[in-house]
Amino acid sequence: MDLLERARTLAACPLFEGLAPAVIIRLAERARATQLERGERRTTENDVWVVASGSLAVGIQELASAEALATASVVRKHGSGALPGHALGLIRVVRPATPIVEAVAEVPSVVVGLAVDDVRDVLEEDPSALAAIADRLAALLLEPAP
Amino acid sequence: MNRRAFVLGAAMILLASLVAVALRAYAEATFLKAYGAAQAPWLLIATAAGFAVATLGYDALTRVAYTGVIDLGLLVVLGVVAAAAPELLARGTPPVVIVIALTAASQVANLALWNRVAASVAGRDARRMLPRAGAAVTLGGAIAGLSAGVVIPRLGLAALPYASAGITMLVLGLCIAQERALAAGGAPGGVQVTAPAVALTRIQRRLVAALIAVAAIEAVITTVIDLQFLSGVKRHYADHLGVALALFYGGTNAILFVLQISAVPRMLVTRNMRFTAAIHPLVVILSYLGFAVAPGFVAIAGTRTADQVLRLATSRTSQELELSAVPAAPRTRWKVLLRGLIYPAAAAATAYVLFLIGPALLHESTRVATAAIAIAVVWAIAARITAARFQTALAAPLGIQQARREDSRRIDLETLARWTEAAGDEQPAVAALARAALQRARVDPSDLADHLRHDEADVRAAMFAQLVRTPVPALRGELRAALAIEDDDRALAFGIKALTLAGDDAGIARGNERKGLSKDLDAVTRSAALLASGDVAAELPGLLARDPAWAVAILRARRDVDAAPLLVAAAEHPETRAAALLASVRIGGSAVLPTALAAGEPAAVAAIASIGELAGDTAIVLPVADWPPLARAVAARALAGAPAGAVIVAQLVADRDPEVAHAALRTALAFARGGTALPGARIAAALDTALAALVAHLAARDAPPASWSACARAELEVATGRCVARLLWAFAVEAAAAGRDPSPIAATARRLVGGSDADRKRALDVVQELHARPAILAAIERWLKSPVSATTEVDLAAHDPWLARLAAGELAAIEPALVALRRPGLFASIAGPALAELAARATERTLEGALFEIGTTGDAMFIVTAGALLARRAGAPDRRIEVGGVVGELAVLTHAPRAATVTAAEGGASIFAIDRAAFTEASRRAPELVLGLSSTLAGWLAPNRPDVL
Repeated sequence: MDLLERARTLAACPLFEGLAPAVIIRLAERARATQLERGERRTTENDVWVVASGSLAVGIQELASAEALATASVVRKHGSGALPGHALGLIRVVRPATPIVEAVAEVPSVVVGLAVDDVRDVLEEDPSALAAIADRLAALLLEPAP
Repeated sequence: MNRRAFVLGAAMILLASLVAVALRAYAEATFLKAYGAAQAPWLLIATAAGFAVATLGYDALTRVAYTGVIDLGLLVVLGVVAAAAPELLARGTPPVVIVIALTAASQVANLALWNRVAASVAGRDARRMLPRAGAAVTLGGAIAGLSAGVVIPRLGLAALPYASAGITMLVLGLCIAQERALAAGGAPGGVQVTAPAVALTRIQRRLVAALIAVAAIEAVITTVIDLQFLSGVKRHYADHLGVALALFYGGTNAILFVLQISAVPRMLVTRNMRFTAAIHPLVVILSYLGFAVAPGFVAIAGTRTADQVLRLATSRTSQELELSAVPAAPRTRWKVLLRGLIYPAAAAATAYVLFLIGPALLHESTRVATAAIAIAVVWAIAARITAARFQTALAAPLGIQQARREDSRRIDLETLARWTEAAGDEQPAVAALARAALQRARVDPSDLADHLRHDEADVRAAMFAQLVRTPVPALRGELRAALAIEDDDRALAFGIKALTLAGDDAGIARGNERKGLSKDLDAVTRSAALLASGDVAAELPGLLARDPAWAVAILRARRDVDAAPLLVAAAEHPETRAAALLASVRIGGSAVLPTALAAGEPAAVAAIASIGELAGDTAIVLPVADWPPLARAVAARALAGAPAGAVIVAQLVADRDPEVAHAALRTALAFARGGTALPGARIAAALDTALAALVAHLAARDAPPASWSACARAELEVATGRCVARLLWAFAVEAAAAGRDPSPIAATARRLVGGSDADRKRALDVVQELHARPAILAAIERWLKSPVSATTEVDLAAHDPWLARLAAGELAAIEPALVALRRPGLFASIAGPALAELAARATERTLEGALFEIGTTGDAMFIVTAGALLARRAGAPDRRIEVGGVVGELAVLTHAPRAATVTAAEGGASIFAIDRAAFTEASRRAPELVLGLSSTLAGWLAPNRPDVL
């Protein structure tokens, strides 16, 4: 995946909808695409994952600890089929106390990963990006859940 | 640190070391007497193997039983075996059994007791105090050696085990006392009895594997040195072997003792592990090089001295600290296994191999030196790898990642063609992304040269646009040729600009050839002529409205025109204001720019943020020093995505206003991450300024005048935390300029300022591993410690004028509001001046009844300063909002209807109201306010949006 493809994947995420294209590109510059084999896992402890293709089962960790993660059950499943644009861990960027999510590839999948620190840096470096995220959060709150 | 447990522990291991040395002397003498000097190598092999087996046994026992009980049992066994040794020998027990039992038991006991000392200290205290505990061990060994010299001639060799048994009972008593001290005062570096078993992570396993390799290689080289030295001693001092060895051990221990109480603790808190762990192997390499040049006993004696001293002074301490990145239980276990199993097993194997090869080999100095240097080089590499893995393992729990990224902005022609096609996509969002990518893309001009006649007109236009952004005079010939046959008007317009900016007006003639065929092309051709001559003032308004970037190019070329008044005039008109601001930035500023920036005008911010998008932008210098602080801070933030503005940011990183320096350093860090370095002198100035500010704030903390209000003290704490962030950002920028990755340092700054106590301590260790200067480490460590009383005079005004005014009581009127606003987490960490501005705009109210009704709209948020509020909504229990609580936050972002009815609780409430305008104004000064608000919104959103978790 080149820079523009990674940027398109990130731009499809609802929380990034209000971001200026230049900010998305800066995020994409720091992102990396990862292919997940069936059964491969990723957590949102330190990373944000945006699904580019494939399907992932998702477990939400109620306690932010490795111990809890090991026993976390899948309490919410992220559909079955293509889930491009679904984001895991984004809320933790602005709210670190949010529970950690564990995603398991149900089929071979591609995700675009970003370090939580990197996303936070881009937002903190650019007040207009921060304001756009806040506006988007407010808008999402007012939308009915999908 | 548990001081009582440490002192008791130091006394305990001093005596235990004394016992170990005395018993070893007794065992060696017994062995040599029984089997003769010819079997001496077997003594080394047997005792090392015995130590390894005993360590395995100890490890097995401690995994099934409480370590404290095992340790006490081990001391009892040691005392009994020592007391019974002479009698057992007399009754015919094979001497080798006695030798192995005594040495193995005493050595394992020393390892076990060392862990008990280590349990009493943690973190930075461990770095300072454990070498001193090591000095106690050294002192114990020295006392044992000297005492043995007195005791043996008077009482005979058999007195040693009896004396050792007696002292062991004393150690037992100290061990019990220390156990109680640990139970009473805590064991910060120890294993919690109730702690669950912890498996090592992959990163930690890699660290332990590297430590095993280092311990084994170190044992190999030390054994070679040992045997070579002993062989030399026998040849040179055959008649005075005992005296020679005693003098050697005495001298070695004296040097070691001095290092352990002086240099080593200092080194461990100032230098990183790559440095510390490299000392021993590098000195061995140098020693062997000396030995190769001048082989002889003096050279090998020097090598052996250096090896013995550094093994305990630097290698053991490195191992100790590197294991600190592993959880307590496996750390304790691996400390024992590395020293008691891996090291002796490797030493025994090496001795056995040398024994098989033949002692004569040790006299072949060149071959031995070559082999030893080769092994030591491998050792040095392994030590470096271990240090790197230690750094990774230390940083991993903090979520700090270290990864090299390639520059994805450098693209090839094929990618340029693909992105260009995407820029014309019918979906606006896709096209906008592609245009943004192209805007930051950099194609190597040599790639462009051969393709300026590409089949696709859009690709040609994109390539010409690249050359407009980065004019390349060397490509004038290729451009001229390409334009001569260019038949696409859009591409030709870009081409004319590119060629003209490259210093060739042949493009204008080409444009004139196609005059009348395209309005845009005509405009470009006509205005291109303005680059050399013509009435700029007359054409400028039209140019600004039509093509601001091209207008900038013309203004830059026409230095004979005074552009500033023209742009001020253009800024008066709404249709050309944004372009005028954009051009103002390019011509070195105009009167309108700082005012617009201070007011937060989006066009002014965008003009600054776009620096780098036009040709010649890297040369922009703005008179920022003359701008008001708010304009400077806004400009610094706006440049975050514009590394071409590095010159401007460099002017601000050491700014006298802390808010401006804060914003500029944040931006400088963004540049550093993207590979743009600031001038070294400016970085150094920023680092010095940040360090001086932190030291001044700490001095104020430690010696606050009695006149300081509680509010001033609280604000000092906030300001000090921000000083720490600035210092680390400056350090990160400096690291990037030196070619190192700044990201881990930046991430560490976040953990230090906003993390838990444990995270902060770990983060400080990470900072040390990242090559921080001792002055930076000392200042941060001082900040992490509790204040100490001091009487230093502090000139805070030079570093933080606003805080100095607050401390002097000049802002007493707003102090109650500051205190009230600091309570909510949303405002807890923003800069004092920004909070003061918010306080000035907040309105205070007392409330008896309803504050707002569900479903109504509003534009203010409220902070409870006294009493309480009640929030009610159908189907949910009432929520009570106490002092420091916030309601209605969503209203400062959106006109959404209120989600609950809020009223004053019984007894009424006092509140501060902050409206949308005040919040927006404050968030321009303190963008972290928006992050805080986002955090609140995210908390509400997360449960309901599975697509945004």
